[in-house]
Amino acid sequence: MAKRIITILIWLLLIVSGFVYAVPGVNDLLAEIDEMMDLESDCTAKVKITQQKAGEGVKVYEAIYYLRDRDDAFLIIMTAPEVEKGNGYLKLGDNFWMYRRNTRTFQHINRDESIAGTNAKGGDFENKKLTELYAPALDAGGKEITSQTTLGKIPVYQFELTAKTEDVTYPKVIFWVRQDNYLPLKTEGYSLSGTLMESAYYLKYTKIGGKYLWVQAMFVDEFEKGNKTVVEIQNISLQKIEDHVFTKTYLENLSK
Amino acid sequence: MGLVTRLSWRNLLRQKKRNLFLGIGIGFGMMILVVANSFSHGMVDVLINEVVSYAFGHLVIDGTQGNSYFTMIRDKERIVKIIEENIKPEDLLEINENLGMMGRAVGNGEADNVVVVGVTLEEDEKYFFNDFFTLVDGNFDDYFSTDYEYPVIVSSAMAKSLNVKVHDTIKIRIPMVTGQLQAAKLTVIAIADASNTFMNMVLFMQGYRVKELLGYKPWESASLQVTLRDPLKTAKYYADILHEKLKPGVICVAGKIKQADCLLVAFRHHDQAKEALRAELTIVAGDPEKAWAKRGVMVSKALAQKLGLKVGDRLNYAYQTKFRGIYEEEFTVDAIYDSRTRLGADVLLVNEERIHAIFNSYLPAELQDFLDEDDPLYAALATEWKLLRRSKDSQELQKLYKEERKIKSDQSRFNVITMYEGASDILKLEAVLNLLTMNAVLILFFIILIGVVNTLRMTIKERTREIGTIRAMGMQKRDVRNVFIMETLFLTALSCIAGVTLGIVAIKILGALTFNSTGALSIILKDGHLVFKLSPLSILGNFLLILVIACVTAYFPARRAANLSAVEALRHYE
Repeated sequence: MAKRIITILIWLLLIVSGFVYAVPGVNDLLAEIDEMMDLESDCTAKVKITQQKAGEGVKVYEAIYYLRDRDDAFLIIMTAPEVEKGNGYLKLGDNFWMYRRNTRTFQHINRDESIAGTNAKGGDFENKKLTELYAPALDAGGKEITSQTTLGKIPVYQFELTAKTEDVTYPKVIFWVRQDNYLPLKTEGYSLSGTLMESAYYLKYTKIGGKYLWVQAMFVDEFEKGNKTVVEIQNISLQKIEDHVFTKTYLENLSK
Repeated sequence: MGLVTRLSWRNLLRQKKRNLFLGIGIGFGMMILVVANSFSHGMVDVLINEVVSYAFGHLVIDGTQGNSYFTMIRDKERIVKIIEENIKPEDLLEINENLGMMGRAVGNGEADNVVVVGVTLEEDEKYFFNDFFTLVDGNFDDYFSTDYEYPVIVSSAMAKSLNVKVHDTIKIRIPMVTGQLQAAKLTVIAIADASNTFMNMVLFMQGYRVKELLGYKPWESASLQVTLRDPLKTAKYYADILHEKLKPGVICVAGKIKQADCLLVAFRHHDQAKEALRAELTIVAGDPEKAWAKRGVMVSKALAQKLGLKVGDRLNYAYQTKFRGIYEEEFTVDAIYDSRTRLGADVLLVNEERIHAIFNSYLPAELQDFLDEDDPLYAALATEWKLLRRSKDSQELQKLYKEERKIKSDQSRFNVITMYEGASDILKLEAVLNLLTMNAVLILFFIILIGVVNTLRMTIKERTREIGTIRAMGMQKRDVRNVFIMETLFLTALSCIAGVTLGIVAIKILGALTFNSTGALSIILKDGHLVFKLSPLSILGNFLLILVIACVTAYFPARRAANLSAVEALRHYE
């Protein structure tokens, strides 16, 4: 009888420990990340992009970014380098314009086009939810590809995602998120053929308005070795932004 | 007249040295004109035939979608059929897909921007590349090899830039039609010297391999290039015919909701179209603002009653696609309407912007006839694609594309362009070059003709007593005038003929020179040589123009000589 009780207790222990140490579902993790990082308010910030290209040295770009939460409209005005200063971008509904200070003209551009010649694209500045873009990748047995591991000394959940929509740069992405607060620490983007194209390291986060926002990240070009981009976000404000900011006139005035 | 001619000819030979120098001046001008004219013709010929026609085709059916960089024809078979049915077989040489995309390549420690171009060739067309390349290393035959996943032909310049040799691997990163990034490892199977600088940055691969990399489905195509036997005569003619035949049908697709048959009809996302529809249907339930909005979905009262649908309900609409079996899409009912028109039948009425993206990916097997073209509601209904108006030239085409970029829609767009419209700027370049050459040469001739006038004045002065003698012997004023004019014409004509001959010799010499340029000059080189194209018609035109100018210039001094009184002329002493 005692032996039986011990066996049951061991089984119960195993079951309970299984629940305690089980990796959360990927969809739950994605929902958690979306929830944690969705500012749900307007946002103003200074963005600094330090781009290092093999054989071309280092270029630093600076811009001020305005985001309206209501309709995801955004405005970017370049403040450095000198050749880009005064140029800007305005996304309003389906329209996306590029403003050139030299010619004082607005031009319709595609959201896939580069911002100021950097690796960043217009689409990268849109406020998108992971749950809308990606779904958990499944292995041959139909199970989510997920595991517990460490990144450096930090315990993380590692999971693989596949694109739900065509509206993403990488059809396959692997995430490493902290086990204690689910903040992403690293991602890897893969091409459709399975080649690692880019690694992103989220180096610093800040908590603002009860939400998390990464303020320093490094994007390493795994395809062309030696290229990397560091993005820093500073002077973040969640104050409401007046509607007149998201207009061509305002962008023109800012660039003067 | 015979005497006048003989006298003119004799006079021409009397002052050999003076006329020789004048003749050299005229001949030199003519030579420059011939060389410059042939050069501009040759340059345009290279740009049109070596660059534009290959990059652009004689006639292009251009399909685009949204604001994507890529050209996209969702149903290649259908468009190819339209082309084949409407271009006479004797005029149609071939139809090719314009497969190409700019990307980034990494070789052995070096990287560069490249253009990956797909050329679909059969084994018996293996000599195709000999027209554009001179093989340096490797084997063009390996282009067809299945031993390599992605065999590629690289120009010598690009091989040097990427630091690769035959059988080395090049990694490439290119955007796919979806906008996602694609990467692949290509094996260099041949390195060759390109005949044209544009070819230097191109990596050539079999068309089907490029399609696979770029993410085109087997039934899809990039823009279609049509090569015609005589494009100058037929390109515009066939472009107009194809434009007419590419008129799109109205979106009306038969499908099922809960096993009940119904029609999905799309209305245009346009104020006028919505106004026309509002006049013909009444919204009986739901929010009209939402119903007419960009993603609005309405159900006819008849269909709603049949299926027990209410506003806010979700329904699954299933239809037969052309290439991907049955497709099901979920809609939320924004409104229920009633109409006495055909729209009142079992119809699911949706805004076109709700359906274009779906139909682009899941093409309906067929469209149903719904309304006659003369029905007032016809113009309010959306079409399967937008057929862009024909453009007269490059400027109009650019303006059209600029307008289209402002329109945010998922609707596919079709355009029919010939290279004469798409590359009209290049054709204008020839006219501008000719005009510049002509102006320069006219200035040269103006200076030369001042010499002609001066020579004639001197001649007249020297021959004043001779004029007096022949006038006293009974020669008419008109004949005296004609002697001088004829003399000038003989001199000009002979000099021009010599100039044309020298021009042809100069062309041969210049055309034989080899230039190893990789700069801007290389664009107009063919196999490292300048290309000259003689145009007999324009040479003849210039020749006649110069004769007329010489004749007009000689006329006034000749008339003055003819008007001299015989007595006064005989009294004249130097």
